[in-house]
Amino acid sequence: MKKKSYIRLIFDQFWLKRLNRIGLSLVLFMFLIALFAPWISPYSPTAYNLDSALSAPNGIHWLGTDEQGRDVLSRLIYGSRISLSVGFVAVGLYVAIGMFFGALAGYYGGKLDILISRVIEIVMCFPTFFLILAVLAFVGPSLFNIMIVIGITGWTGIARLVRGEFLKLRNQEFVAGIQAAGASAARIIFRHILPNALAPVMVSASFGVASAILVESALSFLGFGVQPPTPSWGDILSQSRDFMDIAWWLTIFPGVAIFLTITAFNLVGEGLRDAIDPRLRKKING
Amino acid sequence: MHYALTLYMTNLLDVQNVSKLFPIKGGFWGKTKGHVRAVHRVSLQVKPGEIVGLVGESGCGKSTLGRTILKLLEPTEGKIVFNGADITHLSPKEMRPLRKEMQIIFQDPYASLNPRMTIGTAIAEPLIVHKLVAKKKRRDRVVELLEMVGLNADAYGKYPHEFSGGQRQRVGIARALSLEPKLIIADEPVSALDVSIQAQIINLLSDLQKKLGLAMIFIAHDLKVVEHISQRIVVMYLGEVMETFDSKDLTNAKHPYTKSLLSAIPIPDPNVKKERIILKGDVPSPINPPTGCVFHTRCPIAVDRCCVEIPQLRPIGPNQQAACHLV
Repeated sequence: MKKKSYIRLIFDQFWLKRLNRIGLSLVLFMFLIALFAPWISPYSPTAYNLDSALSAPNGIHWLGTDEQGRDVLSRLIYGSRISLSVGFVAVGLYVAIGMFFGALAGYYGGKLDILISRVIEIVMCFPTFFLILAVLAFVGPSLFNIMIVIGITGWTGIARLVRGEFLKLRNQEFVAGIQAAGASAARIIFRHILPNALAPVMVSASFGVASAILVESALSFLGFGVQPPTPSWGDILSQSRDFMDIAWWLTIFPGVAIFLTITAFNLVGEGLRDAIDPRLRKKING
Repeated sequence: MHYALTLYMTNLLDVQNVSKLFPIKGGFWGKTKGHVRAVHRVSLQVKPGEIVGLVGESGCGKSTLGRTILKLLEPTEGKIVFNGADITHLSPKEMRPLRKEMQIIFQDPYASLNPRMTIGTAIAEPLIVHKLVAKKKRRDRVVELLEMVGLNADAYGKYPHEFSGGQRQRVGIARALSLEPKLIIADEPVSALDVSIQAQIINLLSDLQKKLGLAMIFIAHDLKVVEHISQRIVVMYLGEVMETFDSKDLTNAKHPYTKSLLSAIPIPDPNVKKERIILKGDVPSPINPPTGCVFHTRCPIAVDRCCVEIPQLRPIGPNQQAACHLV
C-alpha cells in the first residue's frame, strides 16, 4: 500500500468526522457565494424601492426588504464579500506578521527573543476591540483600515505559537544537520523549520478568521465599520434595531448568516486541531 | 620549528585544549548562576583517512565535543585547526564554505530527518546550498548517493516516516556524504538502532570510509563497537580525556577508568572468569566537578594526591597517553 503524505493524512483524518465535513462545506459554500455574488443575487444590493419597503419574506423578496425597500437576500450575499475579505485579509496579514516575529524570537533566542516576547506581552495587554475602535476613530472607518487594524493588533497569538514551535524545532537534529551543511539562517528558518510549524498556525488562523468576521460585524454594528450603502452583515443588523418589533427578518437573517459563518470556521478550526493531534503525528512519524 | 610544522600539517583536524561551558541562567534578569562544564581542555588529532573512536558514558561531553569541532557550538576556550587553518573564531558566515569539508551523522534517525521533506530533497539540500551540482544532474547524484548507502532509487520521493530506523540512518549517511567531506563526525550513529541493524550500519560506514578515504570521529559509548571500527580510541570522562591509545592496544589500556569499561565488555565464553570492576556511585555533576582528578570520586585506586592535583595527559607507551598519577 502506498503511504500518504502528511497533508493527505491530516485531510483524511479531518474528513472522518461529519461535523468537520459540514464545517468545510459551509466555508466553501460561503466562498462560492461571495465569489459569484453579482450572478446569484436576485437584485442589486443598493437598489431601493420605497414602495416595497419593509415587506416580509415573500415570493419576490425571499428574505424580505429593509426600510428602503432593498432586497435583504442580495444585501446578505454581497455582505459575505465584506465579511470574508476582512476575515481572510486581516488574518493573512497577522499570520504573516506573527510568523515573522515568532520565527525570529524562537530561532535566535537571547536578547531578540526577550525583546519580541515583551512587545508581544505589551500588545496583548491592550483590550483588542477597544484598541481597534480607538485606532479606527483616528484613521476613519473603511474596509481597508479595518483589515489593517485587525491585522496589526492580532498577530501576538500567532507569534507566541510560532515562537514555541521554533523553540522546540530548532534543537532537533535535522536543523543541526542543515546547519552543519552550511545553509543560511533564512533558508533554515523558512525552508526547514517553518513548514513544520505551520499546522498549529492553520488551526489558529481558522479560529482567527471567525473572530475577525465577528469583530468586523461588531464594528459595523457600532458604525465604525464599512460605510453605507456598502452592505455588511453587522451594518444590516445595526439598522434592523429600529424595526425589530415590526420586521423580524431584518434581525434574524443577518444574525443567522454571521452565526453560520462563524460556526463553520470554528468547526474547521476544531477539526484541524483534532486532525493534527500529536498522537496522529506520532503514528505517521514512526 | 620545521618539524613542528610538518607534524601540524599531517593532521586533518587538530583540537587543542578545547573547553565548552554552558552558562546556567536563572532568576528574573536571567543572570548567569554557574556553568555546566561539558568539555574541559580536550585535545585530539585526526589524520586524513583515519577513524578515531570517542568513548565515554552518557553525559561525558562526547557529543558536545563533536558539535564544537563542527562549530555548531562555539568553543569557550582552546583552538580548533582544520586542514591547517584555524577555524576557532570563524563567524557562522565564514564557516559556510568550510562546512562541505566536514559533516555529521546523528544518533537519532527519527529526529535527524525533516518530516516534511522527501528523502531526495533532504539529500539534495546540501548540494543546493553549496551550488555543487547543476539542477539537471542533481537527481542523478542523489540516486547515486542512495545506492551508495544501499537504498533503492525509489526512496527519492518518499517521506522519512515511510522508512525504518536503519534505513533512515542510511539516508542520514547519504546526506552527510553528499558534500564529499574530508571529515565526518558520527555522533553515536548506531546507539538508537537494533543490534542486528547496528552491525550493518557499522560495516557500511567502515566500507564507505575505506572507499572514500574519509577521516571520521566515531562517537559511541560501546568500547567494543569503537574498537572494531577505529584505529585510535579516545576515552572521555566528565568532559576530560582520560586515555588515548591505538585500537589494537585496547587490552593494554592502563587508566583505571578504561579498565573498568573494559571489564564491562562481556566475553562470549562461559569458562572465562573475569574480574569485574564495578564503579561505585554516580558520575559527579559537571556543574560542580570534583577537584583534582575528575575521576577520583569513583576510582578504585585513588590516593590522596588525586583529590588535589589534576593529572596531565602524558605518554605512557607507544602512541598511548593517560591522565592518571598512578600509571
